[in-house]
Amino acid sequence: MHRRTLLRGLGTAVALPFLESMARPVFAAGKTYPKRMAFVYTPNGANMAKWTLDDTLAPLVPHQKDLSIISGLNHKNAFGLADGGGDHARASATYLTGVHPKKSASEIHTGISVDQLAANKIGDKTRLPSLELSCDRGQEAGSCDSGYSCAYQFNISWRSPSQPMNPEIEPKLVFERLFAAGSDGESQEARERRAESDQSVLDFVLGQAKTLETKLGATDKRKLDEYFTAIRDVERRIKMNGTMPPPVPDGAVGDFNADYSFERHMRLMFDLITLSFQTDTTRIATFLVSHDGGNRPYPFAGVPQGHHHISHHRNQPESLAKLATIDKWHVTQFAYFLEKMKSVQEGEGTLLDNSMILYGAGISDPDAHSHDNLPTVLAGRGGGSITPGRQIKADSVPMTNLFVSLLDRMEAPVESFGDSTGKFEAIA
Amino acid sequence: MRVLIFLLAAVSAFGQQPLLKKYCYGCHGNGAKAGGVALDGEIDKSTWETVIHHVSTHEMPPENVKLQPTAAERDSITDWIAGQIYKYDPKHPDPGRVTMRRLNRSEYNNTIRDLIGIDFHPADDFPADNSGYGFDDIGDVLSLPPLLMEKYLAAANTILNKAIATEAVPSKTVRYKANLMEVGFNADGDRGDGWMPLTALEEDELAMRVPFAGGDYTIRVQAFNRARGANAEPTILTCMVDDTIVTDWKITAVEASPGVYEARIGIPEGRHRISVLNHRIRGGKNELQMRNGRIGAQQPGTIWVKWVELEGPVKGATKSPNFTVPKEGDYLLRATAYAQQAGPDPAKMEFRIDGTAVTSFDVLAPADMKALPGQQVFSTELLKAQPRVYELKTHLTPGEKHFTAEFTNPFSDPANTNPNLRVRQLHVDHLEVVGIDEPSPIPAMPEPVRRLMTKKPNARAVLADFAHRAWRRPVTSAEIDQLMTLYKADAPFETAIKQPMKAVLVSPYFLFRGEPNRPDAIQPISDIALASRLSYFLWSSMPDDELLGLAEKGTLRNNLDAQVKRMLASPKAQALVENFAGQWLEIRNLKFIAPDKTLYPDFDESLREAMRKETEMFFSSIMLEDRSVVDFVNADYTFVNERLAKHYGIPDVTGPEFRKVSLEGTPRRGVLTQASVLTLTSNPTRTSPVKRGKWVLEDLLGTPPPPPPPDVPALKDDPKHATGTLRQQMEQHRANPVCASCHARMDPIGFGLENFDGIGAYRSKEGTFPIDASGKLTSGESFQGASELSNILATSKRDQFVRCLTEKMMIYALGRGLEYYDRAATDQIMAAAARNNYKFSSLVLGVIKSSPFEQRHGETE
Repeated sequence: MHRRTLLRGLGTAVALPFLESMARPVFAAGKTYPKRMAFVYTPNGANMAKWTLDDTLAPLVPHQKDLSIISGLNHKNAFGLADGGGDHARASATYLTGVHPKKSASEIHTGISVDQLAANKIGDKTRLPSLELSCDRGQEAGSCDSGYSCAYQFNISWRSPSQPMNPEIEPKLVFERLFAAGSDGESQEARERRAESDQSVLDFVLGQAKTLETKLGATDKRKLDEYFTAIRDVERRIKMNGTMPPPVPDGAVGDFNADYSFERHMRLMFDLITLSFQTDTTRIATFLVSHDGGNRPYPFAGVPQGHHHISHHRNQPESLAKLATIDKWHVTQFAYFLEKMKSVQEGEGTLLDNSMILYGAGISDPDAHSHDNLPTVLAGRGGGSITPGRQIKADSVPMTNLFVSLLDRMEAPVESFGDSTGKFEAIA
Repeated sequence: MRVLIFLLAAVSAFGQQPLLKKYCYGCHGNGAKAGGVALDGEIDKSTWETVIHHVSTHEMPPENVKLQPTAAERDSITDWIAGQIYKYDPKHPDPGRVTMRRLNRSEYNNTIRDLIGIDFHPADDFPADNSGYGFDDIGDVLSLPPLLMEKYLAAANTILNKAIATEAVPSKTVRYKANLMEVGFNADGDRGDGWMPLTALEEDELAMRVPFAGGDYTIRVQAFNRARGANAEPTILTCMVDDTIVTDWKITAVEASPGVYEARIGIPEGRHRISVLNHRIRGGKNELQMRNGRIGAQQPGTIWVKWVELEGPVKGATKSPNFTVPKEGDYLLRATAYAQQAGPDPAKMEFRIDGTAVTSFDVLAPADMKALPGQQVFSTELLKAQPRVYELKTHLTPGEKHFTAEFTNPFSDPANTNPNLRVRQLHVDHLEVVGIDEPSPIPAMPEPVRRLMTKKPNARAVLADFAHRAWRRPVTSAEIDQLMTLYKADAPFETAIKQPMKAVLVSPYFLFRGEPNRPDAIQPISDIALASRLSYFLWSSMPDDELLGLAEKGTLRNNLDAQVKRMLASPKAQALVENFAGQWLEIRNLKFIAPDKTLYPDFDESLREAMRKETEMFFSSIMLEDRSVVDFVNADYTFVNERLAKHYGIPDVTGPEFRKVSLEGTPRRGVLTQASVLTLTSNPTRTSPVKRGKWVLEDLLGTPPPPPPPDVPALKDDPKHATGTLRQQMEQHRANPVCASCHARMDPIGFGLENFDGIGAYRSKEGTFPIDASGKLTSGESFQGASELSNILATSKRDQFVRCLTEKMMIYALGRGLEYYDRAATDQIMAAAARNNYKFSSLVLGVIKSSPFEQRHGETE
């Protein structure tokens, strides 16, 4: 008999239970802790008039010393610029890239995203170079925003201008990946044998791919290139698993069933990011909460209408109020995340102190589809390189300037990124 | 007709430019440059393409301009432009080129099912496929992130270990903490020390959904009982595997010293849900008890659980009811059964070995029930049968044995006022025998792998056969040599062969479909490549031996008609229903819709499921009966089960099975009025005439409306300010001519469907306002309601519909978007279909025989 059941989260008031039995300590005592970066993206803009600590951001009040509210950042490349409609696709395509995406249903071309740029530099220090998560699996039929490929709305992390880093949706699978779990209950010995076998198989098929390449035309070669990249990436990961075995988890994560809870899903993802940072499985994460342009209803927050529908508020007070309710509901989950991050001790400080977490959206006023003055919160101290606890007012600055500053702090410095015009050291 | 115009045009090429001059130069020529476009100057290819698009979709000239070209003139303009930029020759169309594409998730699952013979869907864990043009098999869009490569490796490993088991599945023990398991809806949480309470009010349960190797398992639970009342009976903790009760325990332990309760249960191969719960006591007189909409007697106590442990598969061999006992030993006889009751005695089931009774059970597990008049059941799920496993342990001597479970006391009481108590009937679902002392067997190989293994110990032969089928083409001797380098002969055969087989499954030749390139030539694709295109089009899976065999002999093209007929009739063609229909009609998105529960309390999961099934069966019927595709828009029949029939108001349909019904006398015709489409095209709190109009324009007529301009004002949703029906409110907004130009195309269609609410149920009023379902299309046809609209689609819009369907089918079959030069192919397919009464198979054959499907255009390297 099928009944209404809810997924039980990883730990409740207690800190993540399975870390009690970790095989070895992650960070040696006295060592400096690495910096972590994470990007959390919410769709359909926000009620900007209420984007304050008195209102939508009220759940963040307990954490206000650990974060800054930044206004005046923009993504000019998310505007139409003669391409016509498609602001939702553009909002998410530019958010972490700063590049105006190609308008096509089949050819995808934007830019490399800030998280992947960082992963290219420092990703080899951890088992997983980066982690991509989302609560939206992706549209399964129909076309997406105004002639843009669906890829733009369901991915915010881009390895290259045409290769999205598809996010993982199922918490259970993320968990298994973090702990390199094979089939349930695989022994360490079996895992090592499997790694060896995988390695030799990869070498073999790499050779096959090289032969195949010589017979292909230019377009097909580019496709096969993704295959090459993927193989090299996995080979690297297998080597890392050998030198840095993952901690042994205690417990499991159940599946979702018919009665889904968005709140549980979001919170599980936040738990998993915290866990991946805590165990130094990765230092870079992106979380596409829900796709831009999505029309998810929020009955659990008291708004039964679809989000996108409400976001076209036409300045009607009731719609604006409902939009703010949805915004605040999202912020409540983000506050949960900050609490989790603060509960992990790292030396004299916490995991949050050593991180830089960006929370925001690629659209400000959703009725106007504006990409100026984007709603942005930057949490964490970046290991001492960021001074939070302020309202920072930028004067129409590209968000990519902020990314340049963040990349600096992640030891992946660049001259410029996307449409950046310099750095954004107001955060220091 | 169009060819004629084109030829005229070719003869007097200069004669075409006056059309552009006449209709366009006002804003786009003679010095005018609206939107930066001057059609009498230097124009690049992409701008010409935009012109073609705007002219053919009527976006240009704008609706408010009086001077508009005729339909024929529009065609001349676009043909002329195409001639300029593509050197478009309808007699020798460019077949285009498809980028090499990887198997998508559905194709991967099906290919593994057909190649290896196991149907466990490894790709369900893969990340979502990016889609383009509405379909998820577009070569250019399908990418291969490193995450996916990890998954391919892991999947190959799991698949081969399942397919070629070399030893009995080793037993392992996994303990699940109660506070990490799935919990009941209203259960109180973890009180902090890991103990979870289960009360019987809502039958609280703890559950895990886990994959299992088939066999017997020992389940253990640490629990104690907090009884209510001094002399209370011990509370019973029930254990279920999916929907069947497998065992239960009387929990007597108290909080001061919790107990560990153990039982041996059988779990079949696959992913199953194991739960322990505080079940209401069912059966016998308890079936007549109902409280809070729940059936059965509520147990008074609360059971507290800290963990659930599963050990297994344990030693023992599961057998069928006709079995052989090799040597004397202990056996478990099991029957899964439930019964309908009548009269004073319970239904009795007798276990017999070779006809001799060994024990008898009172079967109280309930069968499907009907709700009594006035009875409000919490959920229809509670009325379903609740089978239970009945078990006997017995000692048997060697020999062949035959185990049966017999019903010994039929009875009927037809006059009983309660319909659930009129006939005593036993249902036995499943019989099995477990030899407890026998060693656990090695799981059998699936059929395709078994056939492969007949060639052992010749590793070369096995690999040659496997790679041949997996790579969908003959394999060279050199390639087999290479594979053999992965074969380490010092290990046992079954173990060693897996390594090269794993390489076969991760090879680009398995994961990608493509054809070798010949620069800049147009040529037919090889028979081998054609076989793959065919099978992935119609089956979303690899070619079978028959198809591949014909291709290798070079006789596939001569047998195309017969093969396509065979393929459409095969059960594998269900993939066309799920994947093509699912994306063309967008019903795959049904799983994401969330109608507002207060406005649509009738909507539940079984209705969602029924909606999807109806449309799938409908598509299937047109495919299998080879009906005219025009039936899609105006067929006078559909498929319903009781749930859906009730939703539609169709009488006399009982039971969960689907059956064909006539729509005569109802306002519904064709796919447009099916609940699936109507719900998909609604908002959570109301219908959306705009979305419905857009769906028809996009998916049935192939003329999608242009995207909305920025700053589009949304419709007021507040019922307090409603002035009339939704239609009346929207009329007010369409008073704005800027909006009206596009909405005049979409809204009338949606208004024609306003008699169907946000979940597709019929209504004649919207609140207190009567619904006006009349409309007029921009092309002039007027209609009153949905069936007249469907009729227009089937008659005056028929060609447009067929063209739209043809184009969508081509995109799906080719794996690329359509370019201008594909128009000739589309025209030919439509002409052939018209000659064959628009039969489904003629469309399919037309696509398959078309130049884009059959040929390709090479490119520079």
